[in-house]
Amino acid sequence: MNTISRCAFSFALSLLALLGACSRPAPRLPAPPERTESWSREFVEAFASLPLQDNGRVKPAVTFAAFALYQIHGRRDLQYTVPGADGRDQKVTLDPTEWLCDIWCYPNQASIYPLFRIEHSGVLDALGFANDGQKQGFEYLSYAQLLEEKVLQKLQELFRQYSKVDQTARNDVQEHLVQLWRRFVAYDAIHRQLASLQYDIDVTGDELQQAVGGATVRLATVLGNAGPLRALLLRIGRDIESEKHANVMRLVEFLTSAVENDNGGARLLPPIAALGEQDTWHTLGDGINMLLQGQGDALLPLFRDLQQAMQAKGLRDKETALRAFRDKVAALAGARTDAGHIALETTYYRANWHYQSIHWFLFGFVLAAACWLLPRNRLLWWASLLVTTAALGMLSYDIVLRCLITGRPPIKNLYDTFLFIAAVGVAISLVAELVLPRRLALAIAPVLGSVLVMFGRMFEVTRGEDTMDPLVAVLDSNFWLATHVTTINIGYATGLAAAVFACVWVLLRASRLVHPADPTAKALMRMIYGITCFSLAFGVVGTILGGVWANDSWGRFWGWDPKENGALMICLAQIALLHARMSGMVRDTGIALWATVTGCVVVFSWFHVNLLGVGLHSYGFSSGLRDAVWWSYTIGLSIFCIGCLDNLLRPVPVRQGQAADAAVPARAGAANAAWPTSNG
Amino acid sequence: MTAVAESLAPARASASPLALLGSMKLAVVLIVLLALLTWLGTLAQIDEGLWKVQRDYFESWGLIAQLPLSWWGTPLFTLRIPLPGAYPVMGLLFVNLVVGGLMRLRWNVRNIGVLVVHIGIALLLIAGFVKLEASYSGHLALYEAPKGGSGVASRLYEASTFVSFHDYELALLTERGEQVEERVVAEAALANARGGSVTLAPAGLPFKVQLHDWLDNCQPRQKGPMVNAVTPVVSETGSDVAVFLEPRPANKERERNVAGCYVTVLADDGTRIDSVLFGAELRPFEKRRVPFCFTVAGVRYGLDLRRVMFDLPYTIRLDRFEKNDHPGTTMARDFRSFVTVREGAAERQAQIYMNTPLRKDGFVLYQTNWGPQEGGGPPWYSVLEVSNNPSDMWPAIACGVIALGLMIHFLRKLGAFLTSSTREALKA
Repeated sequence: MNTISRCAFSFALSLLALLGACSRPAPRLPAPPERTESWSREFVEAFASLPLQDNGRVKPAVTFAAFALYQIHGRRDLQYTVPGADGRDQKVTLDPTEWLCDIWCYPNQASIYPLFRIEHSGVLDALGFANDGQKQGFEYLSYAQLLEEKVLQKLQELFRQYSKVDQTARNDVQEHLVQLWRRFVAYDAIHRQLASLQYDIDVTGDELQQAVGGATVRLATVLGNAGPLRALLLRIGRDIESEKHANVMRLVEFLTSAVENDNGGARLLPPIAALGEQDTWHTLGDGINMLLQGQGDALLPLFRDLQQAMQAKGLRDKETALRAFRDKVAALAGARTDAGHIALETTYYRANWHYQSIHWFLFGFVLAAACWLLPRNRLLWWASLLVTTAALGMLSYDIVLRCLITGRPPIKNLYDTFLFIAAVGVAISLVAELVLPRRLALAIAPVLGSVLVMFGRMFEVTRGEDTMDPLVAVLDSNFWLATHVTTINIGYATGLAAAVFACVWVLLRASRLVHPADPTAKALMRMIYGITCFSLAFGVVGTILGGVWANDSWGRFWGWDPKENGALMICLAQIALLHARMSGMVRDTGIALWATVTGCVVVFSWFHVNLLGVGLHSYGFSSGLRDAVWWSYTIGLSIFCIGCLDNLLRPVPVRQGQAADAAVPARAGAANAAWPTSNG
Repeated sequence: MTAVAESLAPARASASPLALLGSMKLAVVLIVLLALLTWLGTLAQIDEGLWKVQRDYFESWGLIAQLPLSWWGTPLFTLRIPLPGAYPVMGLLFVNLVVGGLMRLRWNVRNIGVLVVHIGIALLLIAGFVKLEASYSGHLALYEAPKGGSGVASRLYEASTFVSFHDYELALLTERGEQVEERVVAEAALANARGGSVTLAPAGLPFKVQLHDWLDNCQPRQKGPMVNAVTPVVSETGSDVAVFLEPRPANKERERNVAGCYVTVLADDGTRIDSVLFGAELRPFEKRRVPFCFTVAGVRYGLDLRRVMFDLPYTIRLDRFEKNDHPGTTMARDFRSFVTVREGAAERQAQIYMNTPLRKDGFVLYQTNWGPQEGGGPPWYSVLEVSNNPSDMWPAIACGVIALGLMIHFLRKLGAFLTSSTREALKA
């Protein structure tokens, strides 16, 4: 076993070296930043829980900001460097909440942030940016750079042109440009949302100055004087278009643009219970209209706080104003929103349990690897088992928190499946280790857990959509989400786990580290068989339950929809495997190779069918996902080919001490018969 | 053969045809074939659409499947593989299951789980067969009935018939005083009208009907000087208006196609009348159909190409349609129809919404769509899917049976393994 552990250690080391080599310095800001201090930690944590409504759900600001940043920036944080006091570059890292605060309170600074990631020099060429033509790596463009008239026109024109091309027919640059425009539009909506609060309004004419309360006023002041302004506008009436009322017209135009500016951002103003409003929050534009019409006075203090936050010079004053805004919104929303859920969601994203679990999984793996070096040390085995179990606990707690926040069963969308499948995959591997403690499942479990959670996090960022958003009407059924969706995903998870075990079996055998008749290989084979049985039971029941659900929602039990077909293929592959094993058509090698292919079928069903763009289940498209899917196929099929070649080309020599096999009574005879045992 | 395998092996090992038919190896071959068909059928849907694939792959006796091979999304080449269709594969699988998995299996305590699972799978396959052969479905689109008054005359507010999604029929209507006699020919009998022609000679009537130039998706257009027609142009006797059916590319979703064909009525007295038939379904906007009418020997007749109509044993009226969006979005949280079911004098209120259909007298009514999508309502109209499937609830029963069987079998095996000497030997 020492050879295995040596291989594993070298692999881990090279992986670390690769990660180190991939890190890049953060880009420099083109101008000195306005904000010289950092937002205080307490403020950021408090402001993160500002409730707002976005995509039909009331959520904390941190969720909104985080997913906006993922979508626009493609990373979990925003980094840049500025010259420090000592002349050396100093790296600044902004979390999503700080980034949102900067957009609101320091829009000029935010507009020069390195925000839009460009991964292809062809995009820079198309937009007329000088570049060194480097195809590898990436660069960032800022909002200000894209906002330049020529660039913006060009980008919009290219978007119009390429968005007409079918997505599958676009080349990399075209697709990148289409996505860039979408990201620009998404950012633009957030950037402009509060723009009208950031400027002074010059008011001329005594009458108008009297009505709005000064010669230089700001939006909140105008809204505070909505009564006199309304009276003035009524008095002027249709005459407003005449030259003598040009000053009033200018103000009206400003207010109109303020309303229009809030287009596509989150809804920041809660519904007012006193007006009998239900659960739809207001945009700033709605609020401005309501106040001008003399309704919704409760919203005025919110405008004042926001105004104060924009207007204040010092960072701490801005913090105080934003904090006051948060408190007022929370108080107003209190009656309509479950404050507990907002607090829970804020804590959920701060604690980040699934992220923590990755570290513990890796630690568990290191201990398992150490376990191979010192096979007699029971303490290490227990330590690895406990650490991996603790990591599984963290992951499960993460899933439970998500259920509590959304009030739904564990899986509502494709992102949830990563966490759930990781948890179930780890759990089944740990059970396998407990049943047959050969230290193999002990090492596979944490790898499976960490890799799947990492993939999940990548998926979350590349997709950039809130993973707790409300569900479409057909999915709005906790009964079916809890039964069909959960069982079928247990089927996927365990099918995948069986495939990983099978891959390990094939590789161990092909590399001659383990003889198929060794207890280690036999135990691994037992695990593959047991997990496949478990997977089949859940897969079959889950698939049929899906049909029963479809019969209640779409009017047919089975419609040959790609997702249904995928689930059926997993079941068929596993049923065929079990029958082939029972009828003696395949022995150990055959079972391992078959289970490896079944793993590819699981990937096809879990993800690939969502990329096909047909059927009723196309709900999770992401282009980055396609690579992951093809990587899985490549790895799975490579291992399959290695196994086939190995079985065909190289006879296995008989080992010394073959008699040890006598200790494995049940299937040893049959299995040995499958191996060429002659010495010649 | 091992101890485990022996217990599940056929009771009598023989080389009889029955043994072959019930053999586990045949089961493996059939299951792999079915998996292959499922996979190829899934990929084929990208280009061919569900309806065609379902017909060619899953309801056929055989086919030449196409496998577009690609790597990292780059197409390489297309393989053509002759395969039996899913119909014979599943039929044979059923026989194999009954013979090998039920009849020839040793009926003892150890196999009880396997037996139960096989019974469940057999039930599932039978349910699928019954669904394929004996069920029919269609849709029913209704406008919200006005509270008072009679509403808009043309709109459909209640109905006791529903129309097929895909299939057409040709109705020949004969005016008999106040009554209209109806004779119906199914679409299958008109298949030769594609490319060729079909002549129908209705018994006892003084004319023949010839159908030709059938188009699966088309649109009637008026022929003008600037309009090119690749299909025949016809004009009614004594009329200046010339029309033709303009062919349109077939949609992958078959229900979106509107078929049409040319018709020639050849009266026994030598008169010839040409026209076009167009199978548009206008419910709920227009409840009456406008057939192509002609008079032969003083009797008025009509020809109507329409989606197959099915009767409901009761009348459904849409009282109200309700759509709720998630706050601040246009994404539907819930949409439901409030209907009245009338059977003779008895009336009953019911709600139909997502995941909650109305099951009554062998028919199941589902909420499937609504309109107008652009501009919205009220008044809304609601589209209900109606299906009549004798095996409606059988899969749910099969699911329970299979789950039970799998649990019995695998738990017994797990228990046996945990206490076995094999496990002790394999432990480190």
